[in-house]
Amino acid sequence: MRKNPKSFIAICTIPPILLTIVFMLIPMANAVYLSFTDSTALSVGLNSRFVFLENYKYMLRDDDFILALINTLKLMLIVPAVTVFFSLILAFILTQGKLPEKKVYRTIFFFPSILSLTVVGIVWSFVFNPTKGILNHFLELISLEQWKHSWLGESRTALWCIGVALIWQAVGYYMVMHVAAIDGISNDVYEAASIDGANSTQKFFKITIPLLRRSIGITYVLSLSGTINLSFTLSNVMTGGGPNGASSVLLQYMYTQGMRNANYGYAMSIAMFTLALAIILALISQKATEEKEADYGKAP
Amino acid sequence: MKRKVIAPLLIAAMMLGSLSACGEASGEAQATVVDNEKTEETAAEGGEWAGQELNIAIFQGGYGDEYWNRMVEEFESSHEGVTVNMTISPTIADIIRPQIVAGNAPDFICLSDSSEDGLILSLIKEEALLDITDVFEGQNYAGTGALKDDIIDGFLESTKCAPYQDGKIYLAPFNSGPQGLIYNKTYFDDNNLSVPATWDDFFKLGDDVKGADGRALFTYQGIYPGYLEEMLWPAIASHCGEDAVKAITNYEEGSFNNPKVLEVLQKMQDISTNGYLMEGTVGMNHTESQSEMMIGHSVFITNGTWMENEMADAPREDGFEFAMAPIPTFAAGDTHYVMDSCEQFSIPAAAKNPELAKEFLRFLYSDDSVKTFAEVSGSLYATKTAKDVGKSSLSEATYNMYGIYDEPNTASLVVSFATVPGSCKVNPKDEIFNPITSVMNGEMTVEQWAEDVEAAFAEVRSSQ
Repeated sequence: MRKNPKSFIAICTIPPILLTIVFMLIPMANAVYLSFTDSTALSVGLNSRFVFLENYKYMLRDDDFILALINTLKLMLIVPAVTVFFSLILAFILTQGKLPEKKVYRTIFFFPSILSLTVVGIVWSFVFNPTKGILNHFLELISLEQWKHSWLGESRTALWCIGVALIWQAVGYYMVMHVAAIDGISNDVYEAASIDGANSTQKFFKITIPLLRRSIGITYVLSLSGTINLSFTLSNVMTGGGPNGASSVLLQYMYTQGMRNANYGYAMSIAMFTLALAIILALISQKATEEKEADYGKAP
Repeated sequence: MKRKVIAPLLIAAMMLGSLSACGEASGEAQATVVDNEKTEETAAEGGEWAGQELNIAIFQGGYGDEYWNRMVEEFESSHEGVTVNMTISPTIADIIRPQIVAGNAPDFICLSDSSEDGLILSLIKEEALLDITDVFEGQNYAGTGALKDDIIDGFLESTKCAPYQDGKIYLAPFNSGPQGLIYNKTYFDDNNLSVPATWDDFFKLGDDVKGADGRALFTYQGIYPGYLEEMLWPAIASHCGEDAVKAITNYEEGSFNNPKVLEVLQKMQDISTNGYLMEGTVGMNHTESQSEMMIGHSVFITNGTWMENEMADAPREDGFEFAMAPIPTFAAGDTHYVMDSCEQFSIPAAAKNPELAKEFLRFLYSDDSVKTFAEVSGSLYATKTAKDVGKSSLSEATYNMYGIYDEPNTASLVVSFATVPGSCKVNPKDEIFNPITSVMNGEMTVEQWAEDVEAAFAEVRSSQ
């Protein structure tokens, strides 16, 4: 006797659908609603005053928000690109290189991504410490005293210190994803290239990168959203958003407004803006990689 | 096409993770719940409060939990039949916020209005705190007089305790202590240095020590410039009068960019531009700068009496002894103001047992409680007799730091900002203190600083 598997499958999907509705869609709808209110995080129910677009209008003339937005965009422009680039190089070296201690390096490079982000922030705070930090000591050692800075305390450098920490902790993670993708490329291709006299650099740019477009596209999108999310913790731990907002990022400003200043409604409107920004950028980068993929697939 | 949809959804899910983390952090928060259950027999024995329960929520800060464990025990034994359920945690706001939203507020909260979580600020904005004026108008625990007369002058009237300035008290002052310039007394004694009275003396001392052993004159908690309020407000009060500080805390137009206040702001920038600020200060956090000061890289740091406890394990110069000096004044003979501040207790309006919570509050101001607090935490309650009651329990250095008010020509200064309207998105203290690093770095002039603060004040006024 065979029962209809369709109804069984339908029943099986009910729990995840319910969980999605309760834990994702309802909070999401609530966040959208709250962004139109002046909720203080204690009045998250229906008793907050409905202010409609007031929060969004204020956002456009809020200098602190605009500064946080610019800082986030700066990080999003640089951090994912550098992260993906370095992770690709490391993945290529580990898969195509002749290093005997490959496995050790793979573990070492992956190690930062299993560390708590707070720990990463504290470790890098020590690196950038103006008097005891290894960076300033190193610059002193190589007679570049004029390059010494109070890295986390100066407007010009604070944001990029966070960027460096972000790249350091994420490179290993994406490297592992790329290693898996490179393993999927047939060795015949590399061997054929070697026979044709291609060197490592040529193999990297002419074989690995084109064949990994899809993987690069995904890691780039992930890195983009990672930058938005993780910069919040690092900025909080390393600089507190300072000096004078020079290293504040969108989610940190959202947290400050929502929790510290008790403007939960406004915080939710910042969250909605960030969400929209992330989705738009993800769509754009998806579109970009797909078009290139199509180009690559075309016969010459 | 499928991937096109999946990727943005993935992003949306990750973003939601961070959103929901804000609202529901309670799940992750670590808490210690002490449930001192009494048997029903005890409850049946009688007593005014017999059989009643009190739920208290305590922020566990640098003072630890011993004081609170002892208070719960003593309150239960002195109030027969009462059960106190205590939740104590460094992240107490994350734990009780969902409870308050769900209509299950604790009866008593120990959490400051200036804490990062903003919970008390939300309760103030929502007008969700209980009016506790009657507790202070009523008798103290010993029954020797009105409780309000026991509290150090200036607190109950300030917005720290009366946030709406309507003559009613909604928050009770907890601890209190002077905040000023911390220095190493042994270093001063060994080198025959005297505490600078005026800004000129201050900078001259800076030149002397720089010439003698190369140490800097001053440092502060770098990436947390809010600590500099301990310098800014007393300096403004001395030079421009207490009313000038009041005008600023009420966001009055022209209160921050007037010439007298600008002179004070300029003195603060002079510390850096004239080379008196410890190298690297702006990039350090509070622990780093405090450690640097204690190992002798700077003469002074702004801080409060808690620093001795906070830095108990930090390395230090030989013979280091904590001492506190007031902020310098412009002219000899001007009053030295010393900033005082307090954390607070409060009772939510939705408390299930407000009367027992009020009784617990009165109990906390009893001599036994004040003495225990001094003994366990090395700090004092905001009561007039706390210093005498706790004398035997405090270290000599801390006791001497509390004695700063007894110096001639010295006055206490309680600074509390008027509550900003619910719809206001500006945090005035952030607007005042965040630019200080840029001012110290020379990236901003004091005039720009003052103008930015005035713009923020205008924003607050327009929200009213």
